[in-house]
Amino acid sequence: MTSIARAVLYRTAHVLGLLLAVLVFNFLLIHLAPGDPAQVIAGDMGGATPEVLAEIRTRFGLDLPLHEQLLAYLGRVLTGDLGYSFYFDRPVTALIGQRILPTLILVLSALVLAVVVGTVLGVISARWPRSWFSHALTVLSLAGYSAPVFWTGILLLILFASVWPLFPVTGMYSGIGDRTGISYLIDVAHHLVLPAFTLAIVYIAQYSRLSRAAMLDVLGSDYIRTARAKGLGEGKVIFKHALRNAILPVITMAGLQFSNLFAGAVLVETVFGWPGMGRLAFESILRRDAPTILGILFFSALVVIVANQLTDLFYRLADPRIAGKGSR
Amino acid sequence: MSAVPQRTPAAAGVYGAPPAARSPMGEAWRMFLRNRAAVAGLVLMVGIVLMTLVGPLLYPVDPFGMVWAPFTPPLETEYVLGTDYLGRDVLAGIVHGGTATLAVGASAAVISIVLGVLIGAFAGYYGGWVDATLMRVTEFFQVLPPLLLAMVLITLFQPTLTTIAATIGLASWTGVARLARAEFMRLNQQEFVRAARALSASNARIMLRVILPNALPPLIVMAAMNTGVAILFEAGLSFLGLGDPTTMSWGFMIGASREYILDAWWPVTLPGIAIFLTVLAVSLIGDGLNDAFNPKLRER
Amino acid sequence: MDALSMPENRLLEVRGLTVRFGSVVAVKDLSFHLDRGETLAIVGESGSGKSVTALAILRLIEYGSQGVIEAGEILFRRPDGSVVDLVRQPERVLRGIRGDAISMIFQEPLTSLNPVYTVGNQIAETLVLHRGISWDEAMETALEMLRKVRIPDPERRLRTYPHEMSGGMRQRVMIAMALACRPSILIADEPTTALDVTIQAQTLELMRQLQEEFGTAIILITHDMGVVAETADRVVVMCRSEFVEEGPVGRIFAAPQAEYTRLLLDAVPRLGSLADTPYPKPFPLPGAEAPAETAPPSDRPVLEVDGLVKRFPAAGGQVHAVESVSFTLSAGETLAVVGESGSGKSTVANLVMRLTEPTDGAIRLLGTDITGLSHRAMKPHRREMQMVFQDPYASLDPRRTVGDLVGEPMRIHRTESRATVRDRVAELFGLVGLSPDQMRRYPHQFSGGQRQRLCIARALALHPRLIIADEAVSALDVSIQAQIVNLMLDLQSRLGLSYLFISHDMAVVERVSHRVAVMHLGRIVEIGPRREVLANPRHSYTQRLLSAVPVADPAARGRRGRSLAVGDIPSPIHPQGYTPPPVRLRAAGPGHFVAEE
Repeated sequence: MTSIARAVLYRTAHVLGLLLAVLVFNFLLIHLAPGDPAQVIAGDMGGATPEVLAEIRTRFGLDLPLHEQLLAYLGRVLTGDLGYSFYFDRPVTALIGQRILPTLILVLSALVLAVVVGTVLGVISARWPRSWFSHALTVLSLAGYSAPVFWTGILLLILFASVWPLFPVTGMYSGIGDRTGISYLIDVAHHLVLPAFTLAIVYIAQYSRLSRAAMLDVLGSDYIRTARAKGLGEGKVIFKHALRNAILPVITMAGLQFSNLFAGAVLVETVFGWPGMGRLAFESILRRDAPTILGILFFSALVVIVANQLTDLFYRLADPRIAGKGSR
Repeated sequence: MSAVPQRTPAAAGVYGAPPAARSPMGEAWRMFLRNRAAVAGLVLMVGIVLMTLVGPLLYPVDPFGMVWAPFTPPLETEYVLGTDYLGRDVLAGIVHGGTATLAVGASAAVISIVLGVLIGAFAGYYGGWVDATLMRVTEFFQVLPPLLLAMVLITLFQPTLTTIAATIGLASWTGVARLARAEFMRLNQQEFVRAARALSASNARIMLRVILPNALPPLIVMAAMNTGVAILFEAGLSFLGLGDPTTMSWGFMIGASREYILDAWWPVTLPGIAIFLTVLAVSLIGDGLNDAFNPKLRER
Repeated sequence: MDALSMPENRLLEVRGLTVRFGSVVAVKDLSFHLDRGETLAIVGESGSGKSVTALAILRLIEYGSQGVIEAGEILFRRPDGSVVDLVRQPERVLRGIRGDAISMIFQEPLTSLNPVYTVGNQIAETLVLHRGISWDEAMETALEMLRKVRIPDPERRLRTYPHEMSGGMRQRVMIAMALACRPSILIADEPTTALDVTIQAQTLELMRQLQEEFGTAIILITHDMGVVAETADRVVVMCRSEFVEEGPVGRIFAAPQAEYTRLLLDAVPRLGSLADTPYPKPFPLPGAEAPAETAPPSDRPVLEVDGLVKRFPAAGGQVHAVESVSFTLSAGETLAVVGESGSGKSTVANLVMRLTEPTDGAIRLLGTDITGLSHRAMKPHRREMQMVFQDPYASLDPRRTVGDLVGEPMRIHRTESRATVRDRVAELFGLVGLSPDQMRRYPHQFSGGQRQRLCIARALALHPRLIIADEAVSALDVSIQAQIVNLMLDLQSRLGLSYLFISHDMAVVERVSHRVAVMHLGRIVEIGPRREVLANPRHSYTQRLLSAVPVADPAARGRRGRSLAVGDIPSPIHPQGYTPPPVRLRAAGPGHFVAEE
């Protein structure tokens, strides 16, 4: 029991350390940026008045020594205060709180889509590596990750807006959002199809290649030979003995790439008008709104860290070989 | 048939002509040239690079200048690819806009490779606290979403081609570092590295002359892939309006015209095809290199 | 005779089997048969086609590597008495036979078990598949099978994963799985090659007993003539995809008909064959002049090791890899260090080479204490000792020409000018029996034996006095192994080299060494003149080790006591702060010392 407790403690300290590093990094960025920190914090809001700048200086104690400012900053973050957006005229925490859920919905559905579809395609292609399907998948996956995600998004948007209006192309819900219950969920899901698919394309391409390679590798391994020597049918060989081993590299990769997926959401949300954190990032960047964009960076890092820990946990469940060992 | 193999490679006759002296790199290159898709990628890439280098001289139209009525469709006037919402020539944009994309893509890839290999090599070779420290740093950069990090840096600093390239490089070296670390760690355990150490070879010699050449194949493949990623990255930043405002780029063209997509498809679609083909070329090359280096296709 | 009829007692008859992988013919026109309850060994060196034959019987070559049975028949008598030709059966029928009437075990028990499922799950799966019983019943039977293969604490083992077991235990699990459905034929492909010699002896004995109990016929695929002599009733010899000869095991060993078999048996080291001389002796190979005994060594010490200790941290405490190891090695002498995995023998090699830093102790090379010398100060001393590694495939940098590799020591130590490096490399090539015009080739263009010659040439480049050979001939086929051993002995007498010869193979050790040190759990338990230690072992571990070595002589079978012991090699890992008991050696004869037990 104590070893588990120690592992949990170690992990928590590790996570907190990473978060602290992100905060210090954020803090330093504002002060390292060229120009007056007060101006940086105020952002490009159409001529920050001297009064606003003065207010910022007193509020953030910009005249104090740097280390005192850092401590004050960390203290504020602890109480949930990530700063104030002068452009949006609202606290950053509130702004992000409003936008985080749509982003999580988008990113997680894209992730699930990518892992499931990518793995299925990869496994089929590895089972018949010389088939036309396998060749077509190789070509398609190359194309899939060569196309810029925002461009694919726009092409899909043209297709579904003017040619084949099957899915809504903008926003997260219809009308003024007055639906409730199941009907609301269906509406959101309907709006989710295009952005989630667009975001997933690149990763479907990658995971299909990855799982194809892993599956080919596993199918050539000794324990698959053993499984066949037992007289198991192809279904059991593939789905019981091979798949669980072949999916391990996909899990690792999905964990490592979670932050990329999060970044991709910025572009996809911008294209499809999805009201998430990515779109907020885009809006705040247009106005050089530093507190908001830094808050988003911190929040994304937080989500990525949590996601990485979950991936790790999941990996441990899937692979008994590392279950008993320390942090990877 | 003689039973016990002799000192000279008499057995060679059984399997064909005695092998000529072939370096593993030379072998890989031959393999690459036999791969039709890879060669197609190489030809495409050469074509694109030539277009961006020579094109602006052959087609010296200002990509920012208003040359004709807005929304002129392709093939209707002397501006064969039409104009955008401000009447700017799309062809000029494509010809001139490649420079920024390719330059930023290539230099960002170089930065990420150099940074990643340095950090990964030291971490993997020395292990212990060096590894622990460097991997903490890597992990820190790993949790910051690359595009968001680049957005923050570019917001705070000025968006010039140099800062953009540096930013993209800084945001995408972690994968390289992980790969380099794993390769250096793996090779460090190999007997031929221990053999070099038993000969009193210095650490620098072992890292540079013994391990690095053997770690290169996967790193070269990753460099190719990273160039593609960096090009997409630059395009994404330009699309968001974070590119160098003084330079035309493909991503910028898409971002500027996307509001009018339902009125005019060409100012968005055509530069997108340019990006797509460039990245596709790089991916094909990377894929070909990967197959060429793959030892499973060759005897060891 | 009708195509599908066989004598009543016959289980399997292979007729004219030809297997092709792409353009390579892996098995050519092979015929043999197997009768009820007997053990048939198929022997050959690497590339002989023996493993392909094993896989072809179960038609497993058609997966992945895309092998094709081009011609031939594989007649098999099913348990119900009907005879089928496996080559012409559909996949569905084959699946019913695999794992049920014919089952198979492989060389690498670790990679042959699926890492993500428990042992019980993998055994029970076969039973559910072929017996159609429920999972609970299957698990019951699996437990019983684990008892039958004598795995200690079977209830707990049922729920463990393969990576939590030792190699020997894993192979027992494989055997339990293979025998679960009581097959009429068990095909064992190099079943003990990956195991330590004491574990090998236990496993072979277990297989023999289970064969009696279950009445299973065994096809044993192996390269090891010792294992053949101990277990087989009949032998089929293969070489380069072809059938060489077939016969009862006694006849094959006593009067081989084929030239190849005779040469193969000559190259097999036999423990006890050098009992008449205290000195090393080359193998009697064709072409070599009459094997001369090598010169007696001088008594000038080249290497003195004193109280060497190496511990390093591991999960759950500390590995006591090397504890209080002391020995000396004289000019022109070979000291063999033998032991099983985890005995610390390779760590000793690395410590002497200063590739690993010792925890304690002193290493004197030609009178100079080299422990604690800096990288720079160590450099001149490295010229005096060089190392040859186990794996000739891994110890040469694949990206450089072999001439470059053999010349590298001279470039690092600047012992030759640019111009003379080439000449010296050519000279070294000649010395190890390679042609200098191969200098511009790359390692992958050479065979295993040639690569090991290259490694020896590289080791000799700086005119060393001491060569440390870490399992240097273990990865080679016996005929190649014999050549390399002869080369090393030849070089020793010509150049006055000293060898520290690390090995797990007692029979090879007998050929090459003047003295032997037996290591167990990081300690030297016995050290002395080779003839004394091998003929008259005093320590119980040495005795166990020697009795486990398979004897390549069928006539000697059963002469020594069989043990059904179930053991793992004990672990050298102890909790932090553990103080090992001191090593006390007592003299058992001139220069012969034994640890007190």
